[in-house]
Amino acid sequence: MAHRKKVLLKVIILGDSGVGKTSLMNQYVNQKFSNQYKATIGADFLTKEITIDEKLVTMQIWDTAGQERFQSLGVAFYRGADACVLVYDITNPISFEKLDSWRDEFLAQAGPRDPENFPFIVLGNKVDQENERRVPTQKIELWCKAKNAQQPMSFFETSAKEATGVEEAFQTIAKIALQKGQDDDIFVPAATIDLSGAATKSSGGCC
Amino acid sequence: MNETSPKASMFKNALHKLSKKEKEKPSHFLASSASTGGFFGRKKTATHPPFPGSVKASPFCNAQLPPVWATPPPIPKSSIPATKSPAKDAGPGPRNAAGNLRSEQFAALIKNDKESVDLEKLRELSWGGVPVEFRPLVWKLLLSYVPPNKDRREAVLVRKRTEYQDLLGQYYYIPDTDRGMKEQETLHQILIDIPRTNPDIKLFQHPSIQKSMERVLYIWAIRHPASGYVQGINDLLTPFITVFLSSFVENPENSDLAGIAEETIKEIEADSYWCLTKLLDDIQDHYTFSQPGLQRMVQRMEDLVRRCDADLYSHIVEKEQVQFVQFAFRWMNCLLMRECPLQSIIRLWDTYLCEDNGFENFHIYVCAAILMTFGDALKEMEFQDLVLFLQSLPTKEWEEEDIEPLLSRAYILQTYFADAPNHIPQK
Repeated sequence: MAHRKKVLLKVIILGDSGVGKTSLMNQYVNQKFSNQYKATIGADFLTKEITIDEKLVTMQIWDTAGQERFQSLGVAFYRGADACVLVYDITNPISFEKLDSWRDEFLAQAGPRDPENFPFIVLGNKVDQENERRVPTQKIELWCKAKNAQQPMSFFETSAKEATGVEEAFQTIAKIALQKGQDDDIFVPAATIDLSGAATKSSGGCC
Repeated sequence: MNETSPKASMFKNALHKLSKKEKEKPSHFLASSASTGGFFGRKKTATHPPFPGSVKASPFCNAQLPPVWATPPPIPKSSIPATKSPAKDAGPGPRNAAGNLRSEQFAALIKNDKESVDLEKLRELSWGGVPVEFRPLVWKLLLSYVPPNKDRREAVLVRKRTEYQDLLGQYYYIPDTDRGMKEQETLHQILIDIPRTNPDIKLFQHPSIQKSMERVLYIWAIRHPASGYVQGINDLLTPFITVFLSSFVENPENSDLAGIAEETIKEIEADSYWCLTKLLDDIQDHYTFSQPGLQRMVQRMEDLVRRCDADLYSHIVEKEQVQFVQFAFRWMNCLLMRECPLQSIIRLWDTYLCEDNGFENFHIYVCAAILMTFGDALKEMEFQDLVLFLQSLPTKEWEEEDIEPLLSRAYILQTYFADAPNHIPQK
């Protein structure tokens, strides 16, 4: 495995203001929670290296601002994304209702090749506040099925505060995105290059 | 001739004093970053013009520009052992190059028996920093919130404060059921943002300050429907509250407001509202739909960097494919408040308030100067490190003293490029 291909995954986190996007990212990357995160302006950026199926994967995570006014910026951050994490707050039904528009907006601005099968994942955050829950689990289940009946989106209920479900959620989206990337590579033969070195004729240029 | 203008000579003096001061003073932020290869390497200083005031006459004006802004005038602080400076231990003390003398100059300008303050002189003097004790009044004067005429000042304050109370009665102190959908959304967003505004500063965790901020932001949003409340405006309110409170307490940021009358807080709130309004009046399209003003500023900054340091520009944009908007957007939207500590921002604003539309124009030069300060280090970084660095600049540790050389570099940039509209598109 000397020539393990380095894989980059660009992941975008979207969702309404205050649902916990920054907290989720920081819990996942730094295993930390704080009540003190300032509102994200534009987008924040963190990375994490993980291993999936023997592959070393670098996740580049863009945590975006939730306020609608910043949506015109989307194109600068969304382009080239491999996966998208949609977040709502289980205590805030409006944030759940906005999932549709976040998804549509993302697809419109990112312009992925295959929007129908673009890797999305949905996180219902703040399950540590179960007694204030106002979005039943069933609702998100239905929503995910409604978006894609054959291959419903994965969803997780998480708590960035108590680290519930966070690791699993990001692992899952990484796997889905990786799988999707491989499928695409099979689809587009030009992108499948043998990097093992065995069949290399010359170590020529890149053109 | 630039060299002979009062501002330039004052500036020159300040720089000279500063460079002397910096030789004595280590900098923790530089000490900590020295290991990364010395952002402030002196290798280019051979081509360094002796004074920024002389830039117009320098031979570099027409030729390939030397990156004077990439290196600060003084000797690199990283070469000095990181011991604690005696000056810093001495407490706040005189803030500016000329120390007490400056305070006397301000006193002479503001407190004498003259009927009216000469605003032009006040701008010249304040550009180099306003002493703490004069700042509340000076900011109000520079923002034209209070008139230069001394006799009319108090009456204006009374009237504006009453007017603000009336606005509260009209828009804020109403039943929630009387608020439309949009107003409720605005209030909801403000309520989310208040507790996370400067969460690390004690003052902004105080319930009555949080309540004041909520009211100010809400009224401003309601009265400016074209933009409404946009995240980041909450940050812009905090310097006003801090500065105006400094009339009453020694260290406002750590104040628990003990001994401060409720009436005083109300006055600070009203003054902050009007001053924030004045500030935002000049930059409203930074916050309207699709934020054209911010896009324009990012573009101008990008153009500026391309002209000044083509290698840095092509490294960032062409080689590493980082877009300026990906990091500079926040620098513009929050006027660097997320990148520098509050006290440094307050010092920065002294200067902005003296410049013509400083919060838009001069700010671009400041942002470009910051980027180019770290140019050598940035050129060594690949995409990931580049973005991480730019998202979390070492400027977070900067103190007021670090702002002075930054301002001088921005001033040099402006001197070189402000008159080159063909190269840097103006509004």
